[in-house]
Amino acid sequence: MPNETRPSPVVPIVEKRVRLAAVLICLGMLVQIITLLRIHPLAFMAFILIACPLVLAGILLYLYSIVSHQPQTRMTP
Amino acid sequence: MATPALLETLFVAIALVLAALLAARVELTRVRGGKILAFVVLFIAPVLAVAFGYSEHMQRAESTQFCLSCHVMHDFGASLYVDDPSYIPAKHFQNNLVPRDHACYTCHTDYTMFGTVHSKLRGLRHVYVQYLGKIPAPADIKLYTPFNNRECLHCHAGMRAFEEEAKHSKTPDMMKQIVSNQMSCTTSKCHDTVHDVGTLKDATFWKGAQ
Repeated sequence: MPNETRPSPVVPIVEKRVRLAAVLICLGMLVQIITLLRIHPLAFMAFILIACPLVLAGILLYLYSIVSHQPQTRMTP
Repeated sequence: MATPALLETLFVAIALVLAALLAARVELTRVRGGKILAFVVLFIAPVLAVAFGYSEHMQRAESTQFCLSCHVMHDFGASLYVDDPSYIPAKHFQNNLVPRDHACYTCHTDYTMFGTVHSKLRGLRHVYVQYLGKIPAPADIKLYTPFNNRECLHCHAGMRAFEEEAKHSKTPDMMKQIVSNQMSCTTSKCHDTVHDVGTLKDATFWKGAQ
């Protein structure tokens, strides 16, 4: 039997970035939901200092991933 | 009944679930529908969620509950219930002359073009002092600047009881001095009993609206 190795699934870099962006946005929104449970200055600070930067980072990473992605195009003579 | 805060939380929760789905199944973005979903979930929904959250937190920062959530403000909250109408905040609070759920903000914001921004910046300074600075005793807490009559006149200007009050026209130019803030409402021995938290231990308190 020939020594065949199944090629490991390669996740394109764009999908890795989109996944990371989704994770950042998830974390940010989770923090945001928690801050909405209480009316307290700490909840406000957590929203401003944790939730907003996480969501913003996720959005920017997502936008960067789609503008930096170069789809493979077949060159025709 | 669904409140705006509840609807916003629901919106953020749905967006969170969709973003989690996308994180778990990122290969969905290989097809056209998945790309559209990703754009909605990773761009439009988070922008809206942050905008809603910011608006909600800004509104909450104006609430009496928010201001009194710091321990050092407890006595100031208690002064709203003093059973003595000479206490100006108590008189306003107990008679609904200010909205009870926004009692602090109504008097302590600046009624100017950027007054709300200044109020929020002052609030941030309070938060800094509360968590990173040296917290003064309640009786030692003073205003950063003398209370401006403009804040009183925001409601009282044009009010018949204010305009026709004989004490406001003791001298011919008294009303002019009040309006121009040359004569302070709160420090001219007229309405000078404000929160006076140092005297609360001897005060009696109104039991209503608790």
